[in-house]
Amino acid sequence: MLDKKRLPIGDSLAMIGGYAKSRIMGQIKSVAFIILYLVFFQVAILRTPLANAWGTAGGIALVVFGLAFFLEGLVLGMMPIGERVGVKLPAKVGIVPICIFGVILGFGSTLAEPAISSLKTAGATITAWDSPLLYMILDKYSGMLVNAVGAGVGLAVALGMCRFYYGWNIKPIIFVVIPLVMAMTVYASFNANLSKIIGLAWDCGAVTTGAVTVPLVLALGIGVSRTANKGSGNDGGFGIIMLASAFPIAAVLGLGLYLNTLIPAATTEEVFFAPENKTVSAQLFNGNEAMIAEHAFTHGSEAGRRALFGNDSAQFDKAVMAIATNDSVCKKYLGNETLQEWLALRASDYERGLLSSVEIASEAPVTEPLSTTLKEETVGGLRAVIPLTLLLILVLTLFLREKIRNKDEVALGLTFTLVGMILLTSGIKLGLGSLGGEVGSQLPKAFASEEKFVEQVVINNFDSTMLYSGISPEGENLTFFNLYEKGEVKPVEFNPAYYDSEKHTYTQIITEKPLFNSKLSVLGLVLVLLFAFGLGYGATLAEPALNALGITVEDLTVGAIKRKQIVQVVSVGVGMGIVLGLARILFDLPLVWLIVISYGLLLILTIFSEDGFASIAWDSGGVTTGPVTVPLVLALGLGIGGALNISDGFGILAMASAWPIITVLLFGIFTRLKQRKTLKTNDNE
Amino acid sequence: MNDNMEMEKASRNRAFSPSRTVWRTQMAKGIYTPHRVSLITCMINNNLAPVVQDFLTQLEVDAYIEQARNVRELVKPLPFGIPGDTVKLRSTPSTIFRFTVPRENVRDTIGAIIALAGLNVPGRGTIFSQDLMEFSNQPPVINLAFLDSKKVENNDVTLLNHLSYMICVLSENGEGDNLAKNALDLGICVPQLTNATGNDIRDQLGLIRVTIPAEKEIVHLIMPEQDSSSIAQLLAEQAKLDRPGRGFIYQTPITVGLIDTYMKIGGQKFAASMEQVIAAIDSLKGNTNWRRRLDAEGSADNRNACVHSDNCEVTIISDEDRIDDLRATCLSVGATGATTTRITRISGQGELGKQSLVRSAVSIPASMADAVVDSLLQISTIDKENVDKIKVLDSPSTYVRAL
Repeated sequence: MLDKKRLPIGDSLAMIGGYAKSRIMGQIKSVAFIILYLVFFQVAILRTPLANAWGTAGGIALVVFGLAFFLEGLVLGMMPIGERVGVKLPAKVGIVPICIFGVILGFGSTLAEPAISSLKTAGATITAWDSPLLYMILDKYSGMLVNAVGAGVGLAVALGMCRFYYGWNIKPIIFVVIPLVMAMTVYASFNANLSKIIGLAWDCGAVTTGAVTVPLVLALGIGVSRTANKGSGNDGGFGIIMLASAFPIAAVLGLGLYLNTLIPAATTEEVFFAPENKTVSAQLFNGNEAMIAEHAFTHGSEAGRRALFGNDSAQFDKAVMAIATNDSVCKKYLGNETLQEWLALRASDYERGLLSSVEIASEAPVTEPLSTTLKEETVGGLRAVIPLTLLLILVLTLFLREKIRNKDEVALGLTFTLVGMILLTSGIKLGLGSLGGEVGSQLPKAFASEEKFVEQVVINNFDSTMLYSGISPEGENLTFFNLYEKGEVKPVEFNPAYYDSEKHTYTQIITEKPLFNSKLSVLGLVLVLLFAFGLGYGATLAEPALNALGITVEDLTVGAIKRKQIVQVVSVGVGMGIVLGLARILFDLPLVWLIVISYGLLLILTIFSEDGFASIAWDSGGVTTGPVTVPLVLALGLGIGGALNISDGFGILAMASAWPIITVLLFGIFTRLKQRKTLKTNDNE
Repeated sequence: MNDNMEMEKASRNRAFSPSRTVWRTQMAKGIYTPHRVSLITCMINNNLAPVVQDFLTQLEVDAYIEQARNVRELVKPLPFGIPGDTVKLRSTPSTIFRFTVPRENVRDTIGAIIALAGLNVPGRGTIFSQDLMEFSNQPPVINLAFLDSKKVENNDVTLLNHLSYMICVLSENGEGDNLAKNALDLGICVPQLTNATGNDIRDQLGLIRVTIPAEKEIVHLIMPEQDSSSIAQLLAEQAKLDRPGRGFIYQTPITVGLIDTYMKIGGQKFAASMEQVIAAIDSLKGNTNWRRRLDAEGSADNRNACVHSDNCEVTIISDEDRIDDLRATCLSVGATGATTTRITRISGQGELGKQSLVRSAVSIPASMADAVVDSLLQISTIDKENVDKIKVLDSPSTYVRAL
């Protein structure tokens, strides 16, 4: 072995400086769009000042560093190991151990990157009476859900390995798997209970392939296909991610089919909470009857709560009053929600009236300290990176008895991946996520038609002599009083229902006015959809798994397809998908038809695509929904879903992973036509 | 014995050939037998690759496949009737096949591939052969009966002589496209670009090596031999190869070949495109001498410091795992600048082992050739299995930074 040269410190620092600068500049470019976009929307269109601007800026800086570390780590450590395992597996063992390894890897990666938590967020507003099956799967059977998804991903990786090993084409697999999943979906749509989990199933497919799994599986596939002696063609390594998105859909729908037999049918809220149905309903809460009450308060409406107390008004009033006066009752009924939140989100006017006399201390929103976030994200990062890498290293060294090449580089790469993952997820939580959440929660204002309750303030020493009257152009008599606040006098409309003449108090309800004060205005809608497109586009640009895929594509095609091109095309697709997913929430379109139409179109486009390009395109669908996109998109979906009282935020992610496939396939067909032209123009000699 | 050699040298009236020296040394040692073979390189549009792959499988040769892209200029008139054109580069994926055949079968094989893939149509690909020494377990065998059945009699395609194959190894990311553009502007040929890794400096450093990209871009150019040295000078100047660490250019001779002349895509203004005219005259004359236009002597003398003549290219095909050792061996005898590319192997001779192969090329001065080949042979597995292959090829001139 040759002696290593030693460089002077100055030279080394200069080299590291240049290297770090190029990586960080690259990431600044990739996140610049989404950040400027969000800030522009927040400040210029929604006209809300940035809350906690410094914290957000710090978070964004973390995101940039995180992305730079993470991507570099993938290229240095994770992908070389994955590829080496892929190269060595077929050389040393037969197809059966390879498949077993695939199943373990797929299953393990699902456990390691718990995307399920983001699905739980999407399903936070689901009610147990309306969609019992969906509620159960997300709550009581969430362990089973994770296992089903894991099994799906495991099978997918195993099948993908077989494909590379035997050199099967991707198209026949697509034409068997996708119609099968579509058929299951259509079948499910005819069952009231099952139709509710379609969104969950397809979103599961979209989110399972995380930022660590994708590059790893890609590298592994490249390795296996390199030894396959297939000759020319450049789809080496692609195709597994597509399977890993499709199989979990089938697995979740299958789980739904099985569980559907065990679960009470959907009913109305009143029937569900009625005391005589308590035992039936309690099945959904593991037999815990106390949970029923909490569910009624945190998810139901006044009618449901009345039903809970057997429609006995006195008892109902007493219980509501007790929430404000008795802490333990508050805990029992509201769970983790605060009274303030409950009043703002759930309570009816009658219930607010009941509690109007009670003074409620408004609580400052609790922000998590930086150290807690970092600690949590460190645990998450370790979980996502360590087990999978360990599995690979063990397989490589113990099972295959191979050395790891460039050990120091790999170790550095793994450290980078880990550090990057932690910085990235913390940064998203602190900066990008909170910025997105802020805009997302403000956005419903854009098209809301009604004033929204914000909080109530009790005015003491109120006297009816302060009132004066006014008139509207229609001749309607109105009563006002002047409120002096923050150095300004403003007239406020008086509502006798909130005036307590005995205590001389008046409860003022503060509401938020809609931004464009008309019903679901066209301008508001366009604005929301435009915002959704930009959000999807911008977030995807920064998605690390997509960048890893782009690097791989550029590598395999020797630069004939540039990384930038692929990233742009996919990002536009995600933008379009999110617009469609949001449209489904806004107009309450049936998801099943959106899926059937989108995937039908995909199958047709696939027929006209090259094999190599088809597998790249189908894979790019799976990589788009990663750590940057998912939180932002969910914030948007939930913000709007919440404003419109729509049961769940599912379906956006499913669309966001279908449409990039369409755009990439179109891009491929277009490129191929151009190439054909090059060949043909000289063909007529 | 020695007299024989001298006579051979004199009778063929050739310049000094390092590869023949290597052949002589190894023959004298008598351990490894170098085979005198022809290497055929076929660079072809991806859409036509399956045709060639089928042919090679049936021909029962060991062929090595590398992915590449070719670059052409896309000429479009400016929009809204504004006078003038815009010129953009357009890449098309292509595939490079490399395989060795016995020298006597070269013309038939090339002829058959040209007929099969229609390579006489500009825009489809390039094919050429080079004579070299190959160390391998077995000399190349081909299915002669199959070749006879595909033999094209009286084909009207004239293969060109006096061509030169220029390999430009560039270290800076994106330089490949720049050099390709320069080559297209000079009207040389359709450049083929491939990726490779070069670990020279990296191998000698500690962990700080991660800050130096290992990726190299390689531009492959085919051009008339008489223009090659002046073109190399020009390209080297434009790519600023006189600065350290930016790359180098070397050339190897081509025995016979067919060039792709379809360099510009765009509206045709005449009954035949300039490329068609050039191709027609090339084939009428059977060579490219008439194309001579650059004054090689004039431009060459001020840059002579950068030129090394009498070089030789050593190519090693091996399993990826062993490449570190082979490289270290090269370095230990002073051969630097090895570039490694991933290749896939196809073979008509039954099932192959599941291996990941790489092809490494190193351009070295002739004086080093014997030492490098010797040490490579010692650690190679040529005597045991049919994987490792070492090829030695003359390289009349190399353009590197003058030290």
